[in-house]
Amino acid sequence: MIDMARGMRSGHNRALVTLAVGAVLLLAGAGPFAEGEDPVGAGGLEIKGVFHVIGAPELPRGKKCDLALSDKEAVFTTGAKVRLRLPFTSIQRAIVGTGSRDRLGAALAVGMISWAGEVTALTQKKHADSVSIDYTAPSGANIRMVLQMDRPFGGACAEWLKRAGVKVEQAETKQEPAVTGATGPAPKPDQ
Amino acid sequence: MMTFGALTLCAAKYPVVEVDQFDAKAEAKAPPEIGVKLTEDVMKKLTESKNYAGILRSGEKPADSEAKIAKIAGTITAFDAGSRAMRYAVGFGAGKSKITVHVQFIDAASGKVLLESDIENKFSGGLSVVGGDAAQVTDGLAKKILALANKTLL
Repeated sequence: MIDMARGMRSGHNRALVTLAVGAVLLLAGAGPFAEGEDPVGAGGLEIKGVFHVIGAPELPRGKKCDLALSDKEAVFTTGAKVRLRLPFTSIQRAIVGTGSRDRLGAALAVGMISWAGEVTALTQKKHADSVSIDYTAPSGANIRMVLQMDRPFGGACAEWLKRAGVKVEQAETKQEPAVTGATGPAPKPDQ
Repeated sequence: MMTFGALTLCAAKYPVVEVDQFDAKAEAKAPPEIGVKLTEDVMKKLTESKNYAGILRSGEKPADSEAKIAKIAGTITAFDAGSRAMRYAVGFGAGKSKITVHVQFIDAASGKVLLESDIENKFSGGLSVVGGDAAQVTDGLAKKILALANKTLL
């Protein structure tokens, strides 16, 4: 009877230890994203508010969209609508650098009050990580899309693509973006 | 190109034009969106001209496999974004953006270069909203490339 009680207690302890270890692993995995975005499910990285500068015909030019990276594809959505699914196998290369764009909305808003303020606001640029993706569309067309995302998500995105087997290059003229601890999918055996 | 009802006859020497992605030399310091916008602007101008039966992106196959194809390829050799604030506040050419592109017109079948040229364009803002975006410098450049294409490929 005592042996049976001991056995039950040790089984109970094992379950508690397993739960605790699982929780620690989960927290460790979420660590790199604690300050910004949360990963979507297991093995995914979601980046909200990615600015599509130009390139992909399926995405509105100069608008924000959400980007979800899994171990096989990049999915671009606006609201609940999936605009573009880009399998990593169709991507020829990605180029990572830094980009900037005008703060036009802010400048126009300031311009309602002061013309000098508007001009000053026009000299201010929004700096962001820039990721250019060269891919082959189903029609066979070679397309380059240019994305901008808040720092340090460009580095996280690049790291993810690299681990998925996509060729990633650094823009020659720009400074390198910071690389976060995004885990990315497991590296391919030939990498 | 002449259109008679549903029948379309294209009299161009090269009825199909393939536009390669415009790349930039590292020393040009052009942001990647400039090359993409220039490519799209050139395709748009060629389509709007209605002089060609088909406008293709690099990698696309023409509907008529027998059609003669010319390829337009180019490299941005110099780029200066200028200053939007200066274009808006001062005008008269201050803060203008500038771009220079080395463009080639190539016979796709033989690889023979039909014409190559350095083309430059400037953008001073004009009637654009608060000085206009520097990327608008590619609009005028695409028009110049179209003019050269019409001279070479028609």
